[in-house]
Amino acid sequence: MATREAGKKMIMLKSPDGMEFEVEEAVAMESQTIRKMIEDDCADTAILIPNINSKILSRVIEYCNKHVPTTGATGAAASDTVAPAALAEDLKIWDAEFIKVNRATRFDLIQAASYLNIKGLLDLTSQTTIDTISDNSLEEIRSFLSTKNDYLPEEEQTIRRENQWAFQ
Amino acid sequence: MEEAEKGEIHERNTNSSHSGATEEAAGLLIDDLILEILSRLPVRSLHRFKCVSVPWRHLIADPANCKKLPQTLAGFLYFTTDDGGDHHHFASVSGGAAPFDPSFPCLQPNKYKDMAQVDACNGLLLYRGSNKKMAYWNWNWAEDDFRFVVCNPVTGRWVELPPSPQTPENRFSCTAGLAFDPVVSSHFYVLQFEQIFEGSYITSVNIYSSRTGAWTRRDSGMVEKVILCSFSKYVFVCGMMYTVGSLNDKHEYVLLAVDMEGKVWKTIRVPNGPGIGAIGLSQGCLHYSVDSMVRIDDNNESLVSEITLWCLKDHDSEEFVLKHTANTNKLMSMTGKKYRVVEIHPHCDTIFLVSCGGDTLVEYDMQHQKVGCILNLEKDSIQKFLPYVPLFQKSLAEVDEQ
Repeated sequence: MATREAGKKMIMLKSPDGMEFEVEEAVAMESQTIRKMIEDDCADTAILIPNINSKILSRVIEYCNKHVPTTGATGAAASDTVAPAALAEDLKIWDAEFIKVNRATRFDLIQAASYLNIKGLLDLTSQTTIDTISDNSLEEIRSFLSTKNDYLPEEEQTIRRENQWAFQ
Repeated sequence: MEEAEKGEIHERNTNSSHSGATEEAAGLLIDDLILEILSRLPVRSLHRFKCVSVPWRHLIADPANCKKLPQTLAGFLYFTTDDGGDHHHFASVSGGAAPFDPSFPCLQPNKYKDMAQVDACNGLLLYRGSNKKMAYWNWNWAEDDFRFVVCNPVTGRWVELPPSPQTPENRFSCTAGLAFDPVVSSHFYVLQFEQIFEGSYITSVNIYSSRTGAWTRRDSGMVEKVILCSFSKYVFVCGMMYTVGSLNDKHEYVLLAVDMEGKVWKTIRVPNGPGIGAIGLSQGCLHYSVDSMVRIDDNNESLVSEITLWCLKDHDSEEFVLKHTANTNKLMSMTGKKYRVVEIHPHCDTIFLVSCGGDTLVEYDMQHQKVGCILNLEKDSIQKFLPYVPLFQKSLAEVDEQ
């Protein structure tokens, strides 16, 4: 077990279900929401993250750890020797693995990324959802997003006609 | 003090109960997040998704969300003209109201007597404002004291360009195009071609860049002598401006392309038709549609009229690929009118035809060979149409700086 490097400030993040996660400040600041709290001095020793359960929060932290720029995260030191393109490729592969989760988890991650304002994670989760649904039929989308078709048949016909070009 | 691996998540379970969220419990997203996802959809999927449910339709159609979501063709700007000047109109494809007042009160604080529609590109419009009423077909803009005006009609922002360089004595200018792609940059270009009196072919182009705020003149780099007319239409794709010109009086037409530096010039043969076709940007590629063939019987009546839709797959390719052929006899017999292709839908293989006489614009789905909506036009319209896709973002770079 290695000792924590001197000068690395740690932050405690708490989920509403009572779990605590100690992370480096730089990692936590991948979230613009947390960054703002820290910069505004609103952050005490521990920051409570409402609405995000421990399971999702740990995944989010995992993501931030991987994506934090060179000055901290595991493996980031390698960036001195590895070409940036290779690093980006490595991140892409890592992201693709990371996002292999079920629909409910992905939606939770979208919500978490949105609340915590982590652009990269929001892009990743939203884009993955888009890639899943953009070519699906309306019925598949309704079932995927647990949405009901509440159009009257004649209403649906009208709206379909108006947007006929999109069904080509 | 606790020790941890560098960067490792250090968890301490202070509560024995784990997260109880089940797969089923989650899975519902609030509107803001649905919007976040929808904003990334290709425009066609987005408009298809209006049919998912009523709340979705409201979410997508809500004007408050327009800024976030990709937009599609709203309609066409066109004009009629009389002694009082040009009158601006809008033909809406959805049948709804125009997304802005087509007569642009915001543009005419009595500064110009006349505003002439010149071009439209990705939500921005190009006008020529002048104090001398010129006929719309006038082929020599140098006779006029005018200024170009670029505006975004939905935000009401507009900018007047500095005067374009004086056209040399032996040349004239009668056409200009607007180049703007908000995905790439908030800056735009205006290209004004110059043609020589003797032979009418292009000799040079004046390019205005909103980044530098200045005009530059570049000599033509084409071998061919290409002639443009005041009705020439412009399409901006992948950093190149395209327009169609004729080589001579023998119905030989070429697609001409020039980059925004005025350094790269290209000409590409367009598929032959008895007349000039229409170019348009559709699904990210340059498209060309033309009345490709008319068979004439002994009484000089046309028997078959075909329309073809072609595509230039990428900007390096110099060959048009045929996408669809449609027999328009059915359309003509249905309405008893003759039509000419004028526009191409920006997001699907649908073309727009104007009837002879110019009182209607007809939507025609080339893929399914189906007639779509028929738009009524103002009487005596000048048959030049500018396709308009609204842009709700504030991106008129010049104005932001003012």
